[in-house]
Amino acid sequence: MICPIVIATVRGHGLSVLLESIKQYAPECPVYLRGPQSVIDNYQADLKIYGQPRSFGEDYNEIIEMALKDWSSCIVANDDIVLTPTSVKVLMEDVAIVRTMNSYKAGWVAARCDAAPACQNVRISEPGEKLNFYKFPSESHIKLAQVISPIFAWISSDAFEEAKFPPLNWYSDDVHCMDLVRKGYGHYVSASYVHHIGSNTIGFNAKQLHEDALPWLRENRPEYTQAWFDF
Amino acid sequence: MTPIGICSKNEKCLPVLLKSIELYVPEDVEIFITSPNIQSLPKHKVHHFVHTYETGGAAHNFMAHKIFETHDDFVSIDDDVVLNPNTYSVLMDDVNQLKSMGIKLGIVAGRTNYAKGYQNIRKGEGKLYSLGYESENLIVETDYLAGIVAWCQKSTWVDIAPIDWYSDDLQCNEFIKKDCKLFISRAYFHHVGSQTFGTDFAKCKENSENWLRDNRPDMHKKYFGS
Repeated sequence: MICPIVIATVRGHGLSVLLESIKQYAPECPVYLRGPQSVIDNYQADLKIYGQPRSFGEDYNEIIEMALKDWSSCIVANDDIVLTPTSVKVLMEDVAIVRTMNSYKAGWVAARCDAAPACQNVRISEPGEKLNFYKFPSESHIKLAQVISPIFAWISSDAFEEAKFPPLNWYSDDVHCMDLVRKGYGHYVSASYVHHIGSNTIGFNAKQLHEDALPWLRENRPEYTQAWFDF
Repeated sequence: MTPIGICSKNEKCLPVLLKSIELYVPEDVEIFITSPNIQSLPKHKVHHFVHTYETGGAAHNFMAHKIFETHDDFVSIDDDVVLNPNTYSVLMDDVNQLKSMGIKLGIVAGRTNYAKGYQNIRKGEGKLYSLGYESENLIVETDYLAGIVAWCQKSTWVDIAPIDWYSDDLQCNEFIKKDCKLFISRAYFHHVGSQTFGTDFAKCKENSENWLRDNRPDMHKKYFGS
């Protein structure tokens, strides 16, 4: 199944490496790209939206909606990742498996990587698990997760119609995942793997990023604020 | 500037590596490549040699000696690597720090997502953050390194055995015999892995067994038990 890859960028750092990896390993995937004209003008993409950065959530909403006008699903990619030769193939194989399961409607199906929260981070093994050569055996399994980071992740138009990202940088993925869970969707971590540089766009200042998101969360999702931060 | 050396047999992942070099490595770093087809980069000076070697070890030896005709050291990079923005600079910072301490260096190699031993980020220690374990910020001495991304120098260079699997182990063993130290750097890089020799690890081992039995019976015993 061919699936478009959607990317929103702020400064384009690393974007040329990502686009080269798509060209080499997934040339069949159309690329939808959003970013400032001065940044993305010189990059090749099947469809471009020029726009100044707002937040992770708003920028990705715009480019995902554009892709889902043409396709029934898409793969969200952060601009600081690099595909491996099998990233798309394995992700889409796992999407096909997840869609045959009837316990939950398929929400996000997300790749594992080297810079991510615990459920997707390849450093984290199952209890008692030992390395088999270079990887943990569990990395080849699909697993259910309440919240994923869409660093490289598939989503259907059905799911995205049910909920959009909030206008946040941090917690936009947490809110989106929980909104979908409340509507009966399940999220999955795939055996697919991508390289991720991490914190290339919104930075490393965790305290500031957290505080920036709090007012919106308190006003719009007080139940999440209480559950996540206990106030 | 310390040059980079790359050997590629099938060039499958080479375009992505070269794109990361184009983006993240200073332009005055010269790039030496042995591969089947001529390669170029828009800003870096590239020295290309046609790859005619059966084993990675032989190709790496050829490249190392070519580089040592004009340079005292180089950074060897496997063709299925992708550099991070600071891989090259952090590796060279660590090398310079170790050199300034007067340590006799064999090789200094980066950490990665796909490697044996303590270079593998899964073997980290200390507190885990989303971007890594605390121990990933340390330079660590070790007795084994895979030269996936590795700095090496002419004055202590040891030729690599003409085999694929175990060639790293043998080279490390020779470095240690010569009192050269091996270090894992703080530098991190992405490694696709197994793109040249495949993932049939039993076959990879088997392919090296005869050479080891005939040429290094001590190491054959260590790895094959007889």
